[in-house]
Amino acid sequence: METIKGIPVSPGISIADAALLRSDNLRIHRRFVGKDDIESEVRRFERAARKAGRDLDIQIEALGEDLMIAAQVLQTHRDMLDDPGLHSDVLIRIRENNFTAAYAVSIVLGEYYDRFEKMESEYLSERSHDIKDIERQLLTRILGKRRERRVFRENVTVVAHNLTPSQTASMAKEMVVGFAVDVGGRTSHTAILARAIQVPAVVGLKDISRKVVNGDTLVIDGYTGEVIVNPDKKTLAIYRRKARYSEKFFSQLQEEIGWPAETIDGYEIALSANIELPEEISTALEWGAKGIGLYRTEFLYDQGFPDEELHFKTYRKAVKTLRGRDLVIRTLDAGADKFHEEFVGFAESNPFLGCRSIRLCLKKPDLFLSQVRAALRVSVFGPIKIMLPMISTIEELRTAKEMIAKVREELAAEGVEMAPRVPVGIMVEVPSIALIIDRVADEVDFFSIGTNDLVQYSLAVDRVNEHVAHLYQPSHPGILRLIREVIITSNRADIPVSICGEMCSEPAYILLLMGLGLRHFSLSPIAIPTVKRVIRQVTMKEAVKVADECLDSEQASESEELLAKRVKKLLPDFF
Amino acid sequence: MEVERKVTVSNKYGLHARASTALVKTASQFDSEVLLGRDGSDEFVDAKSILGIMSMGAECGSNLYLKADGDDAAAALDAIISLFDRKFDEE
Repeated sequence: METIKGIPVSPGISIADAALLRSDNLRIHRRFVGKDDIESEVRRFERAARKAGRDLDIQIEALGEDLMIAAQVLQTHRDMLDDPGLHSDVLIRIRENNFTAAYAVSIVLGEYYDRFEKMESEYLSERSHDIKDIERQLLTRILGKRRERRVFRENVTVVAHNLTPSQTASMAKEMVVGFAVDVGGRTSHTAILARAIQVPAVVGLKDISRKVVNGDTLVIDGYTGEVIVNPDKKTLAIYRRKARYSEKFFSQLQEEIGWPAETIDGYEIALSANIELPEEISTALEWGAKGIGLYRTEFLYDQGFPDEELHFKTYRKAVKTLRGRDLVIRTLDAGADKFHEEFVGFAESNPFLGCRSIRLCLKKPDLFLSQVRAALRVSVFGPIKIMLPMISTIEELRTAKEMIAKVREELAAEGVEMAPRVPVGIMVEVPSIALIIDRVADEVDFFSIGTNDLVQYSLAVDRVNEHVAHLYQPSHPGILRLIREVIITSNRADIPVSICGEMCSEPAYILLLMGLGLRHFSLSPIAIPTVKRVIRQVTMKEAVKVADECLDSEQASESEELLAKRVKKLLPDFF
Repeated sequence: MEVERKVTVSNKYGLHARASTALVKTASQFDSEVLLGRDGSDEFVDAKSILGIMSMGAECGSNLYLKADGDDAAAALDAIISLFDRKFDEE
C-alpha cells in the first residue's frame, strides 16, 4: 500500500483498477522512400491530415455547447492541422529529402515542438503539448494504427503521465470512474473535463504513472487529493464506506436537495456556490445551490486574453443557466500565483503583496474595463452583481466604482440595455479593510469575506509553505474577532454579508461561522449537501455557544479540538 | 506588386492563439503571399500559418516587418495593419 498526494480537482471517491495510458512511444524510424513511392507518401500524409481533421470535427460536435472550453482547445488543434506551412514543410521533406510521411511529420513537428518548448512565456511553452498532440494524431493515422482509443469494458481509473486534450475529450463518454495524472493543476484539461462529467480526479501526482501497473487497485479521493495504491484491507474498508457514503449522498440527494438549509430552531442559511466555469452551474444547482456567490473569472484567461465578446458570451451563458438566480461575478483576480507572468509582466520579490488582483486591474484598466462592460451588458438577462477582490483602501474602491459608473455611461450612450442597478460589492480579504469596515459600508452594496486570503494576510502565513503551514489557522481567535467585527458592522449598516472562502466548505467550521452571525455561505458545490446536513441538525443557540467558546479560547488548537468533536458527532459516517 | 510595412505588436498578450488565429484569418482572405518577420531579421514566417506565427513568440512591444507580394498585396497589408492597430479587437 502506498499513498500519493496530489491536487484534488474533481470531488468524489472511486475505487477501481488502474488502466495505464502510456504516452505512446510511437517510435518513428529514419526511413526513406524510392522516387516511385514519393507521391503515394504525399497522399498518405494528406489522407491522414484530412482524417484527423474530420475526427476533430466530430469530437468538437460531440462536445457541444456544454463543454465549450474543451471544444476551444480542439478547435485550435483543428486550425493547426490546416496550417499551410505545416503542409508545405512536410511535403518538402517527402519530395526533396525522400522522407517517409511519418518521418517527415515527426521531424517537422519535432522542430515546432522544440521551438515552443524553449519559449520563455509559460503560455507559449505550454502549447508544445498541443504540438505533440497533433503529431500523435497524424502519426497514428499515417501508420494506420487503429486509434489507440481503448474501450474499457469495466469501470477503470485512468492513470497517465499527462492526458492530451484530445485523449481527455474522447474519454468523456467512457467507463472511466476516476483520473490520476502525474502533471497538471486545477485548470488542466483533465480537471475541467472530470468536473464536467462528475468523476473524481487527482492531478499533480508527479510519478504515479511510473509507480502503478495495469490492474493495481486504486482509491481516488477527490476531496483530499489522496490516491492510495493497492490499499490494505482496513484502508479499503474505510474507503468503501466513504465511497458508499458519498454515493448514498448522491441517492439521498434527490430527496434532500429540496429541503431548506434550516436549523432545528428555524434559522435559514443561504447556500450559494463558488464556480470557475459556467459549465459547473447545472451541477451546483443540482447539489442545492441557491445561486452563484463567487464566479471566479480567471479561467477565461487560460487561452490568452479574452475580448469583451468572450466575456459577454460566457457570462450570458452563466446568467441564462441560472434563470433568475443571483450571479456574483468577481473581477479579475490575477497576479500572485495566477498568471503572474502574463499579466504583471515584471518580476516581484513578493507577489502576494504585489501587483495582483484589483491593483493590477487599476494599473492596467483595459483588463478591468472589458470585463465590466461585458458584465453590465449581461445584466439585462438576469440578476448579476460585481465583486471587487483584494480591496485594501477606500480609494481603490472609489476609483473602481467610478470606472464602473463611466462604463455604464458609455454603454448607455451606445444605446445598450442594462439593468437599472447592478450592485457592486467587495471581498473582505485584506485585514486593513476589515478593520475600517464601518467606513466602507456606506459605499458598497455587499460584503463577501474571503477567508483564504484574510487568514493568510492576517496571520502572515503562506499555507502552501510546508514549514509554516501549521500556523495557517482559520480558527485563530484573531481571525474570529475580525470576522465577527465585519458581521456586526454590516448588520448594523444593513449591508448583506456572506463568506466565500474555503473555510465554509469545511463542515467543522459551519457551526462556528453560523454562531459568529453569518447567514449566507458561498462554497464549493460539492460541499453543499454535507454542509446542509450539519445545519439541519443543530440549533442556532448551540452555534452561538460554540462561537463564544472559540472566541474565548487563547489558541486555535483548542477551538479545532472542540469543533472536530462536534462535527464527528454530527457526521459520523464522514470520518 | 510587392509592398512592405512595419508594425508594432501592441496588444497585451502578443501573438498568442487568439490573435494568431485572427491574423491567419485576415491574411488568408487575400491571394498575395504575406510574410511576417521581426524587424531587422531576415527570417520570415508565412502570415497564413498559425504555427509559424505562434512560434515567433512575438510579445507586446515587438517590432515586426510585413512583406506582401501579389495583386492584392496593398489591400492585404492594410487589412493586417488595421488588425494590429485594433489590437486584434482584444481591448
